Amino acid sequence: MFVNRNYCLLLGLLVLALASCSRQSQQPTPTSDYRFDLAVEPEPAAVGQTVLLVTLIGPDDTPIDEAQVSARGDMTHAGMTPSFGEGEPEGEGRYRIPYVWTMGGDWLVTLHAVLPDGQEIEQTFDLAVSSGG
Amino acid sequence: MTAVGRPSSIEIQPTALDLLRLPLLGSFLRWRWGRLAAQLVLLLGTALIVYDGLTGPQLAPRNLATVLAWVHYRGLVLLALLLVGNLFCFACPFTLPRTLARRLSIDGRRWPRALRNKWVSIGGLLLIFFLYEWLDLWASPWLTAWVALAYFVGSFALEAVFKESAFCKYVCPLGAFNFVYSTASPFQITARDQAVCRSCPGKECLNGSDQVLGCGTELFVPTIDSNMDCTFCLDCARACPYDNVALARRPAWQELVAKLPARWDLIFLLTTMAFFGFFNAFGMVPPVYALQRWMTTSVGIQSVALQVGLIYAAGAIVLPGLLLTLTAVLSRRARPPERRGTLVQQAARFAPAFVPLGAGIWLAHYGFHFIIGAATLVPVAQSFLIDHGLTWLGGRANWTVGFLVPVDLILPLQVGALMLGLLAALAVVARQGLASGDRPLSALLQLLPWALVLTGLTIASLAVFNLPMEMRGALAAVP
Repeated sequence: MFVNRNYCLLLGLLVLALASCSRQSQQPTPTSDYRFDLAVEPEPAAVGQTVLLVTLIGPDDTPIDEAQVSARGDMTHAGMTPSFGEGEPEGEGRYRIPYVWTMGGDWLVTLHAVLPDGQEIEQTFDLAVSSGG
Repeated sequence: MTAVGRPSSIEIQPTALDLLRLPLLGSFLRWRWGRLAAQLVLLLGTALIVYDGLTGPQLAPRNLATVLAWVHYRGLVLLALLLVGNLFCFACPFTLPRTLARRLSIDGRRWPRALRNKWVSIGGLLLIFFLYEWLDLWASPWLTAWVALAYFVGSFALEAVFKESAFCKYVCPLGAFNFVYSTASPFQITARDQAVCRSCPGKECLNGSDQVLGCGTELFVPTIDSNMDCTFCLDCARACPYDNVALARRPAWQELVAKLPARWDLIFLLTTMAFFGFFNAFGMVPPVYALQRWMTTSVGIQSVALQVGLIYAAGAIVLPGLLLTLTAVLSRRARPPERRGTLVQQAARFAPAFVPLGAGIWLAHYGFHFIIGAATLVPVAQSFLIDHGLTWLGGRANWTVGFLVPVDLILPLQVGALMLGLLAALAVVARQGLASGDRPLSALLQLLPWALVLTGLTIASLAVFNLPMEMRGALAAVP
């Protein structure tokens, strides 16, 4: 019976943990009137050095300068380290991010911007990168 | 696999290293709660898989569920099997609710006689690999969590209905994998003194005692000559009133050249596991996408599920089935008519050669993921803790982690694992051919078809591992 009680306790703790936990990463992010446009150079995307060409657009389609733009790319497979890049402003809301595709496959590129007023926005893009040149 | 009363055909030297006699480790392993302690460690890991999988970030590289399951578990399980034995079945957390179910079991029916073989677990393997490829399980923390939960439920349900460890022995695909490669493990349960077992009235290792359950998979220690079906639970060692059970070292190849029971289910399991290994790796290189495109455009099969199902059914069931039959027929014909046994007997002599080659293929594939991904557990764990307001491992996840070995060494290591597997496989077929007692030419002709199939599978594997892997999945079907 000692063993049975322990099993029940463990299972109960597991259920409680699943039911009760609230996680910071799961908090909803506020909606925004801002958006990114993303292009890659060269295209189609292939393993190696690349450039992410990002355009940050605000309300009424106004290009947004003077933001801090960065990119984080994750592969869809567990165990893959992400790639990071920092945006260099080019004017008219455009940012150039030197970047490296480390492996062929499916990538999720998350663009992040800190706007001049301190507001932060984020948008994720799906990209398929080929392993051949 | 081992019938009660038949003495073991494998002799393990009485002086062999016995893990159960080692200071501290031996005491821990024989301790009544030793297995439970190990299981609790993996239960914690599985609880994290379920919790983070269901509630955490749904991006595989950032979630403990996918990293622990698809990088660490897969990477470590084969190493454990090849270096020690079936440690992951020993510490399997899925047997915790199973044990509870066993205690709750009312009538305890026997597993149906028609299913007391490996065909169900082969079907389970096909199902799990199909789901893995079709649903991109490696890319989905949520689905990974549900797979773990399904394991708990399946184990509990089967054990609640059937009195033997039906889930472990006949159903569990992970167990089937572990059983296959534990046949090349360097440790095995055995009796320290056969005479003690012969005079033992209670056979507690099999039947259990008031305090300890007997062998869940119904193996009788003095007749054990294989790691197949042994979960390393060590209940036999705890139950034996004479302390007569050893977890003894043996040559890793010993079981591969011993007499495998002439059963097609066992033979096919050993063989197809190597083909599953190949096709699991094949699913990550560009030609599989070309094949899927061809199936879409030329054959008109639009469904990705059907495409994946056909690839696995053809590659891991039909192909090894045909090759196994053809090879066994050719090999048998090479024997003098008066010495020819049945086809299944001929296949049973040589099929264990697929074990070392399969191990090499799996090691090359899962070793790759482990080498490049093991260290990502650190930032993933950091993120997990930070996510819960805990900064025990730092206030910011450090993603600048490297590989376990320099990147230039990965391919040579993969090739090394494959070649070592092939050499061991060829050594097994050579030994089996030459030990047949037939004339040298006959022996050579018997082993030749097996050697050709093993070499062909190795060449195909080398070609796959020489291609760039592409981590695809979870975004969209192949265009």
